[in-house]
Amino acid sequence: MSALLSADDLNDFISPGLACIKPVESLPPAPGSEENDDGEIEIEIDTLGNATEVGKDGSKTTLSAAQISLADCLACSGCVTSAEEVLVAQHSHDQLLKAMSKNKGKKVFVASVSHQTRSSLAVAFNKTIEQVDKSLIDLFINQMGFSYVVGTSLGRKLSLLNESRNIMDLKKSGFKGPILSSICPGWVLYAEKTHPYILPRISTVKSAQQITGCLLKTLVSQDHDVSKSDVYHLSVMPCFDKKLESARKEENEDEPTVDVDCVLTAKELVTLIEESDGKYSLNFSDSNYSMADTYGLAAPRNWPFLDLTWSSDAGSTSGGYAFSYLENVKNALISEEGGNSTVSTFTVETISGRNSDITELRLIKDNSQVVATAAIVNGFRNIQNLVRKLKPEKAGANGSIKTTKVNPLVARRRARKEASKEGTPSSMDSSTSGMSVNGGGDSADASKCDYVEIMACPGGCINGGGQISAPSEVSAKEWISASVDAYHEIPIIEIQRDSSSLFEWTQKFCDQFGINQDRLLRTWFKEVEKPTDPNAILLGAKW
Amino acid sequence: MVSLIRTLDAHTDKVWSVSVHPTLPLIATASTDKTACIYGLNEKFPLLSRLEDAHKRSVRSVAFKPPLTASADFLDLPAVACGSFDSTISVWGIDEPEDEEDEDVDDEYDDDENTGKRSQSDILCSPNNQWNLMAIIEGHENEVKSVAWNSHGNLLASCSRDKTVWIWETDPETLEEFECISVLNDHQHDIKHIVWHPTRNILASSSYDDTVRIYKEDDDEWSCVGVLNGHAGTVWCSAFDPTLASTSTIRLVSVSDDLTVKIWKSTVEEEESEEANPIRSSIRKDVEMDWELDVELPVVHTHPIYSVAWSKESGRIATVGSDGKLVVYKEKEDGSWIVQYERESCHGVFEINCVTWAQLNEKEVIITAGDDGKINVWEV
Repeated sequence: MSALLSADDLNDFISPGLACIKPVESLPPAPGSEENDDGEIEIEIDTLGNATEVGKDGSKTTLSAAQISLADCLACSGCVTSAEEVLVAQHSHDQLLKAMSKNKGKKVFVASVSHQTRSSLAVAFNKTIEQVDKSLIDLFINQMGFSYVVGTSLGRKLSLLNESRNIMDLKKSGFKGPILSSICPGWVLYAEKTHPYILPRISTVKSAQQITGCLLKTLVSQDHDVSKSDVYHLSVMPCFDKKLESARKEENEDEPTVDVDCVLTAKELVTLIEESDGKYSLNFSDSNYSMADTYGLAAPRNWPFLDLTWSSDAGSTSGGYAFSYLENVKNALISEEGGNSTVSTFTVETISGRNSDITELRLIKDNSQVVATAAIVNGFRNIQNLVRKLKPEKAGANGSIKTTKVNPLVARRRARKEASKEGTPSSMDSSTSGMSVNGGGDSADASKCDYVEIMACPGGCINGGGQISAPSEVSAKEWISASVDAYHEIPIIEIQRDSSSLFEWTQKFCDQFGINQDRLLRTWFKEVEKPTDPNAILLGAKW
Repeated sequence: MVSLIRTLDAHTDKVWSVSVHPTLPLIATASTDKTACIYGLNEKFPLLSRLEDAHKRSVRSVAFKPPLTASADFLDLPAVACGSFDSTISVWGIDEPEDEEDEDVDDEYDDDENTGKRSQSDILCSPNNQWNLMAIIEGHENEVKSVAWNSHGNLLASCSRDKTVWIWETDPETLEEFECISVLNDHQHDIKHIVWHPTRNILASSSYDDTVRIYKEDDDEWSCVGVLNGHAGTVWCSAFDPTLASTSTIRLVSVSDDLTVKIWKSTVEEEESEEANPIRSSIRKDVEMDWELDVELPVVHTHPIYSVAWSKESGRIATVGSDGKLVVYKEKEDGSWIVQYERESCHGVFEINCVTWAQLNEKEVIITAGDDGKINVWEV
């Protein structure tokens, strides 16, 4: 997960596998080199670690290092997420600069910026969100030669609306149990690799990054009359795992999508600026343009819904997916019931869980009836508990004992405990009951909700692994809380009540460009099979 | 003198681990034969139960849950956790014994408190009790190497070759649900062993990366608060000083592939009130514990040391390992340690995987577990 891929010592993430076990395909022999008939060769490794192949005749060939691509990592179950080197090699600020110099004048460079990145920069430089937005637009367009910069909000609003609609459709069709979000690529990859039974529960609606990418590339290529591959899209995200997401293949397409060419995190953006020797900088001097003009001038000419493009959404700092579902259910009910219910008919109740990274939201009608529920579950430990609860009932190792739910012995111990509590309450050592046993029924339980917004990072996306770290004198907690405050500075534009214009525009967009709606809005999941070769599993294993 | 008083042919393959119940005369053993066994800890060493059919691979580690309370009118039901190479943890327990209670009370009715206790222990350690599987805990990616309960029995820690330590929370009485409350991945390599402080919620893990790491909870989050660097090889095991359980001094002994036995020392500051420490941001830094190497014990082992146990009764330290030796160390009044006993070939030519202290008929004994599948009981 993200934290794993950053240098920060966050302790709540999934560990990588012990060694990369992806089989390396042999490279074709270099032209001119003779086939070694007897096949006897030696490999020498010099003091610098360079490998040289020595043939029987004494000829030497320098061996190239095996390359593992990001797509290899996604297809492999060797480690839960891929190695940092792979990400750095394919999505680094160096790669961006190389692409910029290589394609100068050939490709149209465009960027999209996430809400969390803007918040992180605002805290790190002690500026307002508006100052950060202006400086980012200045950096990309005036200093780096990008043509356009947009916020990821339009993509996110489409993601939010379609996610809510998808949940409502599934629930109407009788889907049992919670539907889980797929907005966090770290979580998705973890599920694909270790808990394939959970995949049918995961919503296939794409994330803001991927929808934004498709919109940007399509609209810019039309406007400039170039092919999509001549549009280079940089996505600025709070999370290293978004690099993995950008490399996912579309369903029924062989090649990875190129809706996003490079993903950089806030941290990497700062490194890019620092290493540019003054060539690039974030200028926070006030410009004369209003925010609306600034955003408008930075967007492609055919970009729709300009006012939405840099706006925010209510709810969690990961995008408010859980809250958005409840809002959409509420609006659907209001329009269904005509004049019988209004906004004031409904309230949203927040129930906290056993730690700050579990929250349940309930949409309540007339102060009594729970009509929809959604939970927010962040961090690996809470994801663990949720996936274990959602694991289908199965027999024990020997087919004899049910193990996942309450076992008869446990049930009898509970009955005994309850009986003893009623009889002689003093017999319980009070010091041991300080822990929260789910005695009360009103604790958040994500496994019973309609929908669960899941993010791998504790605290959600605002605490993504790619966010700028706290300086040593500031505690991590204060730093995150400042980032949360900055995030809430971004003006919210609620779109639920006139969502129809967005749906209509999406339809028109897809028709105009011959894009299937599913290509724009849906992703897919595939179980990554565990390696079966025991040697591969043991390779590099340390006992 | 170290003399063998009993050998149990406990398993048909290597015995990896042996655990002694803190208050009841029970021992549990874990083996490559994929089972764990519960034995009565008395002259007869009766086999009370074989815990089988739960694991697909070796049971590497076994640990009794500490009892809830010593109150005489409350019957705390024992439970045991097993960690296996199949990456799961199993939890086993017994039902409340029904009829026996009355019989026993009739037999030796007495107002004496001790008798009450003894009959309780007889009931709970009776071979009539069926040990049944209560839960299988999944989560680790691969081999679970060690499991340990905290003193309250509401937290179970486990460690694995996947380089992580997991902490699970449960209801210590019903063992109803095991919720993962933390995954700690500070170690670089395979984690061999974990152990809780005898009274505090402080956890120590030993690893192939040659370090011991110490963990504590702060503000609902568990984190690594100390690293003991100094061993020049895999640290196989560590044990807290149980004689200092109620003081602010903490000592930990660790044993390693490097043939040394090291004692580390730290102190815990008693919890300060909120007013005394109003600056929240500085709290995180205060969590760090300073550990220093206190003393190194005389080197006796000639091969890797796999296990160490610190006696609550006598304060002595026992170590065993690959060389088949059992070594007993005693602390002198000046704080230096001497080798009190040393015994070769304790399990024939086989390696010894685990050592623990126990009480047998109110006498201190040492129990060892070997690759020969045997459990040996020693008088010291």
